[in-house]
Amino acid sequence: MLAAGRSQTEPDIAGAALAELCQAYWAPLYSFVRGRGYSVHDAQDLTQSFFAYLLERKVYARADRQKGKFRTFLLASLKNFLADAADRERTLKRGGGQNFLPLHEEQAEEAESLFQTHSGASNGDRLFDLGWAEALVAAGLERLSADYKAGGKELLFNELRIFVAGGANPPPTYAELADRLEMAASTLRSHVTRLRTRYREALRAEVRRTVDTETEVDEELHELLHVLTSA
Amino acid sequence: MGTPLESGVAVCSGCGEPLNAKGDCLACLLRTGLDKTIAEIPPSALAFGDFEVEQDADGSFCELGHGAIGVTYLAHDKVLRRKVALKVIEVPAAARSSPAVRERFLRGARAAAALRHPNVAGIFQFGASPDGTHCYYAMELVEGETLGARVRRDGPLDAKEALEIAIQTTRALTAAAAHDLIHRDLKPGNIMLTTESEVKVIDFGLAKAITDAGGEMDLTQGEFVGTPNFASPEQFGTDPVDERSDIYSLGATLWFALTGLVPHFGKTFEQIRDRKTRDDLPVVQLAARKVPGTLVKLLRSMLAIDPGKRPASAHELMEALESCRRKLTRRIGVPYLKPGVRSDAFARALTDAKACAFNPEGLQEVFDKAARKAAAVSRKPFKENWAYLQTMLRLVRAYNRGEYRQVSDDALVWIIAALNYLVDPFDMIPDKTPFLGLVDDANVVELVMDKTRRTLDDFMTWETAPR
Repeated sequence: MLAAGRSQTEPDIAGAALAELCQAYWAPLYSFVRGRGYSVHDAQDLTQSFFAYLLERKVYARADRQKGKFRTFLLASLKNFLADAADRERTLKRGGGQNFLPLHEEQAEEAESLFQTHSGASNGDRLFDLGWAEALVAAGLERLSADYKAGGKELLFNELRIFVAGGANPPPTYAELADRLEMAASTLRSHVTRLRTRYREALRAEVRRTVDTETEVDEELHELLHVLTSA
Repeated sequence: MGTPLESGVAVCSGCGEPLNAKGDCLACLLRTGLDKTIAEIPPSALAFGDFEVEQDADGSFCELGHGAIGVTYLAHDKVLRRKVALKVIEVPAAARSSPAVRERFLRGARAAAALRHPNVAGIFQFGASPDGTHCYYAMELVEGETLGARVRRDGPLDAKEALEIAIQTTRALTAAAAHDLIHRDLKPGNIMLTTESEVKVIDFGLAKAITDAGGEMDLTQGEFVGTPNFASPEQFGTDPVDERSDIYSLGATLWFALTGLVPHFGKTFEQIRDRKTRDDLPVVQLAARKVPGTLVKLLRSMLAIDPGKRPASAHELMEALESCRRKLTRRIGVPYLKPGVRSDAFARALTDAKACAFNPEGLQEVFDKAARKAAAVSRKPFKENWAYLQTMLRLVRAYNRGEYRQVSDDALVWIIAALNYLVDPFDMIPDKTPFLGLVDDANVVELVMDKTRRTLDDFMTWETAPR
């Protein structure tokens, strides 16, 4: 996907792919802008404008795969964009990103909620990375949920979700959950193993959209985990 | 050190990291993405040392449980041909090349493996995979459930049962103290209750080794090792901890067993830490469960913020718990008899009983033997238990003759075990301890009474009913 985003030969496809990625990672970018002290509306406009700028100027074509990850590239581009006072003034005056990427109310609310959750982060980069991690796992879970729903196993997914997503309460034991779901504990264990495997695949596929190799997927996940667990 | 947590953010019960706005643990969700090494190894090759992970019919691996860092599998010991619980910890990529990480894990596991005790799930073997991606250890497979699962299923335990679990756990702590081992993560989830009502503490001394193997990146909270709700106040700091830290954790565990609650609940790591060091114990929770005063007093000392105010050692704690038990047994009118017979002798009697209770010949043999013994000995040493013994004998006779069948399988096994134990200790107890009435383990008497009292009462009602 990122390779498509950087394609020199098929710029339209590259642009569309980038637009889709940007849509997926709208929230962390918005969080970063909010973290710079902009109001909700200004941050929305600026984030929209940033995407317009990114696509109109074909900034993605400049992304060099030797020079780092898409996440890093995007953040660096956003910082440049925000630093460019003239661009910012102009885009704000003309009313934001001209809706080329539709901004849904729900999406905006979720992004604001994300910002509020991590607003205590020590710096803007960390705020952005935490938001990025949130967007990654949300996409993985969403994909998984859709699969289970399509297979008529939405209830099972909801019951087993805690085994991958954790939570404030410890997960039930296999014995008690198997009893509740009226299935053998060994069957339940298999379901959990399968769910974890499928989630892992979904998450890694999502990361793979932004990096080039499986090794980089590992590095990306380790790096995000490090951001999360270290000051 | 770890991330300073934003106040008001709930933490994950598994790894202690903050949850997001949806209540999900971002760290667990990211870590799962890194589980790939295990999943990608072909099923036939999922083996560590002498242990091969068992598979279900559909080819998936038999998981017994999983935590923030490791997964526990049901595995087969290829050399000794037995089933074991195999804990596999994935070493983060960043730490794989570090010989120090590997050495720290192996050192911790080696110390833990040296501990052998009936109340500790033994470590059979440990090691690291040649490529450094995993550390593992194989431990005794315990059939049963955790104390946590038991309380979640049946609700809080009564004082006697909770005390018995604490006593058995303290035996494990006493043995560990002799090896200079500290558990560091004692909690209801690490206390297994076997089907024979024995306690087996799992992961003894391994919490630190596991965290070491996880590398610095995976520490749940900086240098913090443990589970916040059950950790001692000093575990939240940087000073070294000693066995009094485990005594605190056992206090919190005992509290949970008695109430189904933790003494200091908090939504965040910081909140829990602050409450542990600031708030009074919510003893009203104990009062609501009618926990006897003597036990409340003991819990207060175990859960003292200052380690200096807790029992100084597991040995001292054991004395306090036994004193508490003596007071409780007097209170409920069960005669206290000097300890002397190890309760694992009774566990063996129970196992034997299971083997013979369901065939008429076996049952008859136990009855004949028990009846002969009972006829040959004086009733005096049996004291108050004599009537029980006689009732059990009458019940077994009536059962075997087909006159009275209102006995559950479980109760029948307990009765046969009790008969075996009560009248024939010479065969079962290696040190030739004399009869029950003279030296006995009050636990066993109480346990047998608990399990059989209703059955025997029903039987006596049936005996006296006009026919």
